Amino acid sequence: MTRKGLSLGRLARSRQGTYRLLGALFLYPEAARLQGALAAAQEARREASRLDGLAHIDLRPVVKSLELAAAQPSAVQTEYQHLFVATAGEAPCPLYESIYRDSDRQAAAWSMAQLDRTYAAAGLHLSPNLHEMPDHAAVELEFMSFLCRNEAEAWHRKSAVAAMQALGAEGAFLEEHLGCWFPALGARAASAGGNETYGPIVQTACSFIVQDKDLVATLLADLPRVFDMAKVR
Amino acid sequence: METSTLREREERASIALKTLVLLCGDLNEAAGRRGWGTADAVEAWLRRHVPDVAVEIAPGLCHEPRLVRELAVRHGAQRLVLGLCSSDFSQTEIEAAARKAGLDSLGIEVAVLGEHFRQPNDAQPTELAGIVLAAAVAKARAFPGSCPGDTRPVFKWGEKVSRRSLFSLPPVHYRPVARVEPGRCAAESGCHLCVAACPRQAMGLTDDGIGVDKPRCEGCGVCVAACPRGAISVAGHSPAQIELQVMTSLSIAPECLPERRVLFACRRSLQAWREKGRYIAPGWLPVEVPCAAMVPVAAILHCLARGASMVGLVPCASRCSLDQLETIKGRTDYCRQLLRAMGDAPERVSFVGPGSIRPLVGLPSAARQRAARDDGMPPPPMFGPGATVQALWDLAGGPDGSVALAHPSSPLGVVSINPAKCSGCGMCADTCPTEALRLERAEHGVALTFDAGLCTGCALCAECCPETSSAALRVDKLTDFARIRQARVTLNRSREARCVACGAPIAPEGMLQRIRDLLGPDAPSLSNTIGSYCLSCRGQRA
Repeated sequence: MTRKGLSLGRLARSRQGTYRLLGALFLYPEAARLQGALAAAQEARREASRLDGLAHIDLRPVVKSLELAAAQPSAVQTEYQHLFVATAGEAPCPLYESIYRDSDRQAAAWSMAQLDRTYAAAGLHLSPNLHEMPDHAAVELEFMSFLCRNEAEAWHRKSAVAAMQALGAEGAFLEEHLGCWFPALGARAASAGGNETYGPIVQTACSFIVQDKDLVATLLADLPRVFDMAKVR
Repeated sequence: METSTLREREERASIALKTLVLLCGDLNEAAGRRGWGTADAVEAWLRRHVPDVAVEIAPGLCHEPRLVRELAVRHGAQRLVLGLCSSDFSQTEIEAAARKAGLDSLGIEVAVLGEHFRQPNDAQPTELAGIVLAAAVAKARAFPGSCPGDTRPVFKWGEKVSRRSLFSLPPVHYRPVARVEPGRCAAESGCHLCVAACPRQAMGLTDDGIGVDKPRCEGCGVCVAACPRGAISVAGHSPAQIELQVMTSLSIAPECLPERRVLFACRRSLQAWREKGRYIAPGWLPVEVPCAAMVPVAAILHCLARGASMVGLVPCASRCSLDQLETIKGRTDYCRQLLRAMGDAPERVSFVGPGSIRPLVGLPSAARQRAARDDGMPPPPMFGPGATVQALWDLAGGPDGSVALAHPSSPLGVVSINPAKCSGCGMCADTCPTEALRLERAEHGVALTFDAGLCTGCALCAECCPETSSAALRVDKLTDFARIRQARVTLNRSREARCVACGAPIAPEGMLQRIRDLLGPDAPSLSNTIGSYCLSCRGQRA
């Protein structure tokens, strides 16, 4: 049987772009960064619309929010501060995994060390210019984008083994990190209210991560069987 | 529980959502010579009876799913209903086209209309098709939208894969999975009925309540019928959607089709049926559910009470591995026995088992059919707490009668207590998911009360009773009108021992005596302390 369908490489590229975009959106919204994000979101949306009906990359709410945000960056910066950064007292939705995962500091430190090791194992180190912790949402999303890029390149080289390894790393990272705490962040953002720009962005990110976790798990379960049928090594 | 009327719920839904009905223009051809102008006739019927929907006839719709996208975008549709010629269409491609148009594919309703026009006798095919479509519109409108956690992607890989197409994906289909509403779920108090009912072992107890293992869940909805709190739903087939679909099927345009029968069937069984060239007999209105075992007894009885002359349940044919045949058969048998006990015709409920589909065609009218009711009263809930009793009274015409039917599939139960053995600990009341059993404060102690109208006979109380060996508590799967009428009754009273130091209640005397018995004569001091002092005074004394 021959099939015509969505290429696995293209899917990985699209996911890479989406993770990269979402990562950038959780950094401080400087005016130039917002403009860049809007252009990237529009491009990612166009790319996602070619994905043969795959549902989970729906960036329309993000594009809409960014279009409004780009016109008034100062209001967005205030919203960012209010929602994610501690001002007076605790921020409603901090962007650090350790806050959602562990209540005690020792466990938080351990989980950050574990993340650092994961990044180092992939040959990455945090840029000193970033001034962020390894468990910051932007850093984790950017790392997922890197893993998706590895997967896309492996598909491009037609190396099923390397692609499956990259896919496995994505599945593990989603299972152990992003997929665990992002829904809690989404719930907090929804209950915080009054976040016109970041409300849709956080909800889109949550929805994307939850569905991407299911997609990766399904591919990890299905592809070995399919490769086995086609005798691919 | 919903308290608004059917019409109010429909109106509320229609205000917010633009619904588009697409009819395949090839319906004329599918209908044969008899059906000239068929699609136009159905469109006209629909415009007359469901005026607030957009209707468009699209020739070739069944085999051109891209039309779905184009037309949905052109109309700005938010909900979509398709009236197709036959079951020979690609659900996956239609769903993909709808998603490209920005629609939630779980909310798309597909009605196969061709079969209504291929029947040998004159059976008002336009009216039947119109009613089926109107019911599908009601169901689509009641769809609240899905969340990311409601689905899982399924890829339809072929049996053989060529190397050329290896690095590409086949079409994706999003399968709904069960969703548990934590606020309603009674897992915290020990309920695990859904876990026991799940045929795929996809549900389990976690620290946060009931967890759904998405890769295992098939979205069959068996857990929906098992949940006594109405806490579970399956996206695209929620209880509210099914209720509205059934009620619309039974109540819309009563002059068009005097006798209506409801047929609960899963998609697979309907498809297998159609593939064999069989058709649904006149008057049968199909209600597609993920599995016929999702349909509780309350839903069957409500259909009968609200005007259906008959109700049929079609389980999957040989393709199903969920093994729910006995459950469906049991519920059908219960309904038949109940009807007989009420002096009604048991034939009004039929189990259409695998291989016995053909006899359904042309079944005689049931002896007693009630007029369809759309009396402005709130539509009855078909699922969840209280649904069964309401259905019973609706069917019986009021809280009268003297039916007492013991049956293993009875949706109601009766708890009896042996006061001599019950220690009054109240664990049964803590565990009861419907609060049929309650431990209430009474003069000089506590009283264990029971409401037979709320009891589902789940036997969780018997499971947790520490006096199981002495048979302190018994649960019978029994529908007893007299007991239901009694409402809440006291099953047992226990005097409470009070602290000799501060006078605060310690525990029921029976429970303390049980502890003394377990401690035996070797620990008189401990027995005395436990029986004489409350927890705080005990701490001070220590």
